[in-house]
Amino acid sequence: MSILGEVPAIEITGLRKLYNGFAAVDGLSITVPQGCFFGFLGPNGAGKTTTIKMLMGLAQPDAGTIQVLGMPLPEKSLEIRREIGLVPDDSLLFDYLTGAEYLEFVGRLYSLPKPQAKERAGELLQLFQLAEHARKLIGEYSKGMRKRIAMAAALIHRPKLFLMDEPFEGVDAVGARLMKDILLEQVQRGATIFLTSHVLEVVERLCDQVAIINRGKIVTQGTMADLRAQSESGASTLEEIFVNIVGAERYSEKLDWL
Amino acid sequence: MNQQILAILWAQLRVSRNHFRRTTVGAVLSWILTGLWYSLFVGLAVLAAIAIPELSMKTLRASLPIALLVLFLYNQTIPLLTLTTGWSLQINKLQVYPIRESALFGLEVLLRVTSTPEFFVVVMGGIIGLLRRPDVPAAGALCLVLFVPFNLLLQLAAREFILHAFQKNRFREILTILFISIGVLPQFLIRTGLGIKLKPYFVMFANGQGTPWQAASALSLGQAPLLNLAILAGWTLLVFALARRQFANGLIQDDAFRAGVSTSASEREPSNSFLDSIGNLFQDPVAALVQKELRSLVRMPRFRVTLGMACIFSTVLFLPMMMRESGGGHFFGGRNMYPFANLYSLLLLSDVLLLNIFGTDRGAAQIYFLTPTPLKAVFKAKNVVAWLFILVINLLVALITFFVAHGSPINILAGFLSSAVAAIYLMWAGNLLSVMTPRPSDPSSTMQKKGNAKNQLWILACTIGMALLVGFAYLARWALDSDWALIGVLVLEFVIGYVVYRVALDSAVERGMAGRERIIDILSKTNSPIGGSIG
Repeated sequence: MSILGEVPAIEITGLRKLYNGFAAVDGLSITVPQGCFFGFLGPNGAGKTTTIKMLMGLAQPDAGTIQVLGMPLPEKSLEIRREIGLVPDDSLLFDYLTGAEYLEFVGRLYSLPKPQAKERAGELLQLFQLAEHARKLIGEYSKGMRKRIAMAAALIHRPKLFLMDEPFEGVDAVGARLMKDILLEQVQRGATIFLTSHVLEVVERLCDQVAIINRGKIVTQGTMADLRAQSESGASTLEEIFVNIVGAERYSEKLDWL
Repeated sequence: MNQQILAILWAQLRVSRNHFRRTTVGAVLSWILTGLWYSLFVGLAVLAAIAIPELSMKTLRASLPIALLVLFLYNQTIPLLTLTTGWSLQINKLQVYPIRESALFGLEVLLRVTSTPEFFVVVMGGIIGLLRRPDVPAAGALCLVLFVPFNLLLQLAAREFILHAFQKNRFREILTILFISIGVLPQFLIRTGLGIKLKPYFVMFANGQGTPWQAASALSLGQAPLLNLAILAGWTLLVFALARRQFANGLIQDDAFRAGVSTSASEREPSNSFLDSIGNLFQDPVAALVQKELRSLVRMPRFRVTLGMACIFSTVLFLPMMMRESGGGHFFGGRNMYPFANLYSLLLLSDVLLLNIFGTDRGAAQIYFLTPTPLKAVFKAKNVVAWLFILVINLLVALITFFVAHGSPINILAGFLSSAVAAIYLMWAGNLLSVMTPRPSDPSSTMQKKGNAKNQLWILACTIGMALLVGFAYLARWALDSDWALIGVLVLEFVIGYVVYRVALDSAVERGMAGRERIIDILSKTNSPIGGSIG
């Protein structure tokens, strides 16, 4: 694919997804350039996970188009999945596999030869400081360890695009630092990262571009400098911008007994 | 692509091995029970292998299509009757990886073997029997194997249809119950005499030209091989297309189910004020827990199906016998059908309501140990709700017994008491079991992935226990020739049961608190690449 460098990593136009008549995603359009660290933010229920599911081909859009690495979804779903590394929510792990077995399994699903999958699994366990827990069942892992093993699995086939749903949730400071360093290295080598997170400080520090979604619609997007310039209240941090945009109110004004 | 299938199978073996490391005595016993069950079918297969060479060709030509039709019906209906889908791929977990849909489909078809392995054992016995006949060509006998893919593909199509169509339908529980009610059909056919009348039609249907079982039979006996091969291949292609389409639809629809698309709770349940009024009979925290329990259960598809089955089966299955008694018969079963119907419904409800009370409540289990609510209150609330549902079913059956089958008041009283005795014993045993061997269970699924052998073992133990308790009371009636002896023994058993319940409740609370970490851990476990392997 010689044209890959010229096409956006993700190009979404007019995306819409209805659940029982309710628009979880409503006319979403975003373009994520290749090699970009993209933060996709929004309050709970805003449509972030639904968007990621549609990017993975797990949910069918009711309207709109999606192109991933220049390939259309759902027509090239299989080819797209080969190029994606997914750090999902907790539910996609297999609790009765050990960490080493899980990584080897995922590697083989990405068509790595068995010896190579096994070798990379061992190296990733070392990298993510999970080597001493390699023979422990994933069901016995702590939340932070589960996130680390999920990220290790996302890296095993050296993908061009990472889709990450709350990768830092429950991870301690050391683990988070390690994960951030690895992700930045991946961006430096040309990979693209599409990340959702509620840890706004992390997003502000890592991401080149940010989009904020609320009630299924993009309410603002751009670089941090763009967002600051667009802010009418003169907000300077991402947290202030986010809170202003999604319209949160101070709880103490609502409940006087608190 | 083969590599990916091998990887999935490898992971599944690893999961089974890892799970086996934690195997308990109960699991070993369940394996023994499973072994006994399949031994029966191995025996049937051996019988087929021995008997087929002894039959005349004329008899064989007439009976083989009937046998294949019976096997076909068994293979297609048993997974539905037992609400069991066997092992199946965890599509939601595997779909994110670059695996071709055709590979997933192929693997899923193969996994259908696990839903009724006994079918294949018997077919193998049939093939061996045919191979032992000198007048049947060996190639023809081996062609009986071609009947297998037809069955597997049709089973997959039916499974996908039921899993997805029923989940989308707001009346899915009613549909599921109606479907399961097919299980009552043999009983109905025998009792009404309709079976005898329909028998010639069944034989005619089995021997019908162009049917898959007739074509498979004729092919295996070497009759018009090309024509019958074409007919069987045609049927197989047809069900292949159907299964492929249903599977593809299932992949697309899966995300909607995971997103929790369902009719809103308020549309599907009794009014909140009614549920609240029941809870208001108690004081907090039991009142709050009873209200929560009632709301959760009436919103839970698994429980609604079980409750519906208990209502329908306990009345439909036993009513003909009761009516026969009211029409002048005097057999023991007919006179005592009301207690039996109650005990049967209790058995159906026992898994969700009594024996594994935290299984479908896994999300809330953690809260019970975190909040300052005493665990004893949780048990009490769950037991109160169980009593309530048992009472509802008993009243329903009592009404039918009284008005339709003209049951005597003493019979109805004995029915209530039998149910109460069985319930109190199941309750204390269930409270203990729920903390000693908790099992995660999917409350949203009306169909389970696999018949849980350990669960079946407990149900068997409960059945024996109930039979002994109630049987002792009936023995007293027989010995003393008085209905009051029956009532007296049941009352005595209930009183003893209640004392044991109180003691066992304290023990369950103590064990629950001591083992809370293990309980939460077990209830929070998720599944493997191929679901159904873990009890």
